[in-house]
Amino acid sequence: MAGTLRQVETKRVVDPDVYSLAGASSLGSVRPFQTWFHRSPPRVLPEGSSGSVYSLDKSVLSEDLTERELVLLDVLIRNTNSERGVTLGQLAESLFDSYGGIASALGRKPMFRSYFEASNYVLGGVTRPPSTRSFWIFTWPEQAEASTEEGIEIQSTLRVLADASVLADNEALKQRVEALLRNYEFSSMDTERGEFEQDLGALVLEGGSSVLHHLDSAITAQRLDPEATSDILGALGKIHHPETHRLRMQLLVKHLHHASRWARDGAALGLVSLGDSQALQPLRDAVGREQVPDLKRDLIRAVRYLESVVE
Amino acid sequence: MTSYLVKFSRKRNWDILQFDWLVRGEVQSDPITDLRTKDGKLSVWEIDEDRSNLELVLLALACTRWDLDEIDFGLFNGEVAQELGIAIEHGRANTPVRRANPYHRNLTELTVSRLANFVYAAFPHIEKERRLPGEVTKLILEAWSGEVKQDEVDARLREKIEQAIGTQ
Repeated sequence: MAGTLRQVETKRVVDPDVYSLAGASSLGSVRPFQTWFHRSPPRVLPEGSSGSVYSLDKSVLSEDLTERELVLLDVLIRNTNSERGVTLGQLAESLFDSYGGIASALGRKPMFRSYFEASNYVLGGVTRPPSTRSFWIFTWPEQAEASTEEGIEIQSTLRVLADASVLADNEALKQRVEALLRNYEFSSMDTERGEFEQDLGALVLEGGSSVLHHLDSAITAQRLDPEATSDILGALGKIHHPETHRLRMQLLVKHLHHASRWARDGAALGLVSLGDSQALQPLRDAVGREQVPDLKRDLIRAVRYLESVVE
Repeated sequence: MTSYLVKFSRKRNWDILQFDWLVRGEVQSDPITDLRTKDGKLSVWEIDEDRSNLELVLLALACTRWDLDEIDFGLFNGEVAQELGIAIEHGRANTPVRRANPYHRNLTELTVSRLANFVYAAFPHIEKERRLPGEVTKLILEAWSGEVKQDEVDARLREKIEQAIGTQ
């Protein structure tokens, strides 16, 4: 199974650090760079960020991709080596170093266009990228992105890549979810809870509904320790990820019916953190159903608190 | 009579439950696993009769963590410990909330049987409370520029508080 390149986050980005790096680039003609590549999934997106985050995972089915798309993929993979990531400008500079001579022969056209033309010219047939790695791509606001030819090139290619399903390996994602849960289950101490929540949040940001599906399966099948289940459900409410908000709420509401009181408690805590008025009625219903008096009191408290913040 | 606050690790361990195997009047073992003792001591906090220092103590507890999770705790009557002969001593506390530190106490010279007896005696009457994450956040935010020694708060919590201040 191949991986997917998919858009997993959209936020407004104002990251001065990126802009300063962009300013340091020698490509003076290129406007502030709108794209930022990360080798590892960002745990927290810069406050106020905008644009898109893509995750690319696993191998690519070359037959699904055009030559140009493969080239871009190749470029991305070869050039996103640093921990901090690389800006579009740095990427372009690196391309220029590699292909500058060819680009010169073709004339000083915009860097990426030159690169594509050059690589098409030289390579003839493009081979599959040597290996694929996960990486994350922030793109800046669409308007700015489209203001440079490089931006248009990258953006349209990313879109095609996404459409062509360059494909997150679902099985690999599942294994990562399972590993996270397994490790936490046997070491769940207070001090590790925050760390676990961060890792879980990063996974949800990366894998979206697929990750939630795997979590749901594990919780529904009662394969996890009750305390870990409670922590997972509680943590799902704390993640800031509008794209999965509704799905997370559905999952939490579902587990208000869970056989374990630990899970019901975690689901209620998650719903309170989610802070959505639509969670009120399911929580009120859960109060009505609850047979454990102590938990019933906590559910009532959760309803009252949520009422106070959303109504 | 003075009451004492004991922080729960997991509130659900303190649920009163009915099991077929549980003889009437007996207590399942879960609460014992929730009390973390060190050198035979259990950390508790003295709460004024009118509970006027309760929020201050909760603030101190909230500021010694690195996340804005809920705080679960129990309040038990001091007589419980007294009747079991469990000594209560002033315990050193060094939280970022200076005014709360003098309220820290330790139940001391605890043995397995004393701890079990304590749980057994306290369990039916202990007041089990919770402060939700939003309430904990509010509690810290309200005291952030006053009671809290910000530079002594874990950097991760400080970052979260600063984020919360930013979104206010």
